[in-house]
Amino acid sequence: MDNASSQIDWQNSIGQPIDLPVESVKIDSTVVSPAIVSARFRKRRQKVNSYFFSATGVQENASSNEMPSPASFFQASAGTDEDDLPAEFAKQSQVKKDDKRTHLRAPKDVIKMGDRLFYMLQPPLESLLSGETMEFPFPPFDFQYAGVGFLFTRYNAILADEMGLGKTMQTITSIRMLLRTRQAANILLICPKPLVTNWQREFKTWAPEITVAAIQGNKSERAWHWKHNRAMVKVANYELLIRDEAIVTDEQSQYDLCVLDEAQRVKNKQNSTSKVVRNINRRRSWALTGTPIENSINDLVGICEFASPGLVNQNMTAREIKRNVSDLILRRTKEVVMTDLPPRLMRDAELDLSQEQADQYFAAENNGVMKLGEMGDEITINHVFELVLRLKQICNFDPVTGTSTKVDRLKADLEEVAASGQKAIVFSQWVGAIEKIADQVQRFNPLQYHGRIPSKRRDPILQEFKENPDRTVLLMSYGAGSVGLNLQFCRYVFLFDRWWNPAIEDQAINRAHRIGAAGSVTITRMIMAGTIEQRIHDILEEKRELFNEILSPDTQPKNRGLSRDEIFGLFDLTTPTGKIANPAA
Amino acid sequence: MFEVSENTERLAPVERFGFITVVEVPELGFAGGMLVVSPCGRPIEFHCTPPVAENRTQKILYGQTYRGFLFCDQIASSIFEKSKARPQLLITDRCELLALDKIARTPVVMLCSPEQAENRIAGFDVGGEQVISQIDDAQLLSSVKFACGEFNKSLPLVEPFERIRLAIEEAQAVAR
Repeated sequence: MDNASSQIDWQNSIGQPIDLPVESVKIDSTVVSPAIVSARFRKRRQKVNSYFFSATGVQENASSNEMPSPASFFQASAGTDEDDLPAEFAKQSQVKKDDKRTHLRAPKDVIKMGDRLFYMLQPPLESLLSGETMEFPFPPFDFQYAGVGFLFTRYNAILADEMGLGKTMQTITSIRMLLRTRQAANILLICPKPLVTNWQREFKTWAPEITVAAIQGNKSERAWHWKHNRAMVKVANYELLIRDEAIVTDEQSQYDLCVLDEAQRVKNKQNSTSKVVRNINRRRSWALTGTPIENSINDLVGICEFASPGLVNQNMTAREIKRNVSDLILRRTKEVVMTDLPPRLMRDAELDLSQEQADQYFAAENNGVMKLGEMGDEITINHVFELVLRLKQICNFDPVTGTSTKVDRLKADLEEVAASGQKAIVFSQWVGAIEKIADQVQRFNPLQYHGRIPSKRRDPILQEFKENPDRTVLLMSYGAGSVGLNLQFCRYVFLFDRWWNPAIEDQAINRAHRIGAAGSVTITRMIMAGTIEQRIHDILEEKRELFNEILSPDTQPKNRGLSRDEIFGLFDLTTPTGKIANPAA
Repeated sequence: MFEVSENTERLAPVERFGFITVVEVPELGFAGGMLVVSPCGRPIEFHCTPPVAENRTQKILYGQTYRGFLFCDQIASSIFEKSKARPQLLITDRCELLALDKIARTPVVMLCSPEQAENRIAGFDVGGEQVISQIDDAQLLSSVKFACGEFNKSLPLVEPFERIRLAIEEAQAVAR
């Protein structure tokens, strides 16, 4: 088909009729317009809670408080006015992106929201502490920052970290921050006498810009120090406190902060030291102790009488006390926070008595037990103690010949220690034993550190031990050497005889096993098999387990140390009130 | 591309940084928080809202723009109005709050992931953090970059957001 014909067909088809059904629809013009739902979205103001922090420390939303407002915390530094800061503190340095940041937390007794937020909204502690003049000789650990945050924000606090975790450093740094922020200008630190120089040294290391004065000298010299010395921190020892009570507790004397080191010294609230420290005029009270509970929960109550008077009392149940002190105490253990601390290797050297020692020992024990038995109701705990001490001394040395299996073993071990260029500490309960040991280990150039060494000579002894490579061994008494000393350059500790209380032994061990320890620390506990030492050891091990539980969050405090019944039980004796059924339990 | 309002002032040395964000509070909605700090990070003001629940009707009608409306117009602008110390630079970690510069007439920058940064014109790096903004004024952008760098000398730019989140958590804990 050509184009012309196709066009004709198309035109013809148009003319054809179309057969389509058509319906007509009637539209009702009365239908109304559909219902309309309108939604208008006006800008709605949301409720906003606002908190304003000014350089004067006053918060708009905060009302007056009996306690100084936490906003006064950074009085000199809360706002933008950096010029108010002491020049040495003004400069900040960078906190790197990936660094751990420790934020301050408000103590539980801070109730008002504005006050709580004020703590939380401060820059991280690392930033506050990172000014160039706040440099540290060693970088603090994360848990130490947390400890500083804990102390710094509290008027009442007990820092009860296990020995060796740096309570001293955390305290000094917190003091430094209080001084920096002008919350404190006059601080009193009280510690055992042998530790005064230690604190001075630590201040020099950690905060050289802080002026420290040791209260010492005769009465008039001390009076001058108390009244006129302008040092930022005064360091006094407990013994001196009693003598200077009138001056220390004078109403004119007001301290911004009073710190008790080794605060277990005031665990008995009846003792005179405890009474004096409670009467010191102070705004803040911090107690430092590695052993807040040495024997019973009452120890803690005694410390609280200083740290937060009235918070707990002896009539409270252990559960109530625990609840009340939960925000007062910070306690961390090495196991939890120092996973990278070198290991502490415990080894028990179970030794046999020499023939001479054995003869003496069993004669003394049989004789002693028989005498105790004959005493009947007149027997007292002191009688048992006397026998225990006598037997322990024989375990150390034969009283007739002076022979000692322990010393023989010690000498063998010290050979190894000396050969490897390491150093060792040997602890004993008795000065007499220390002197005997010294006689027998002369070739290791022993040094002695105990109660008969005058205080002035003690620091040079420690210095000599640390710096003289020929001094391999330091012989220490538990009493003089168990607290506050930093001997982390020692890799070996020997417990020549055992103390009654595992906490004291731990303190002794932790002279060496603490932050800065160069490597693993080996602790050798010398125990004469089949003797009173073995029995005490077994009980102490049980006590040690209890101790670990006492201060854990989920367990209740219990007694620790050897109880009266346990001491009687060492010899299967009957107490005046009856037979001990299960002495070691 | 949004243009910074003509009324936005050139940045003088920044003395008040505003860190502003919105966080999700499970089952309750979204809470906003703004921390105004000094150049070294010390707090001057803090504002926060209780959690704001999403409105279903609004959500349907606003569609994809709803979060922007809720976060910026509803929450952030309410917060900003309460500020007395008027921050000179706003830093956020929520892209919805970039539009706050229209309301606040203050430059706004956002900390973001590298992926987010790719889609923006104006971006820079501060201490390893990607920062973007919608500022197209080169001089202003340069001032903002300088201010961010100065702040970063004291603290990382992300740090104040940690504090805001902690504070909002604390406020929520107390409210409960």
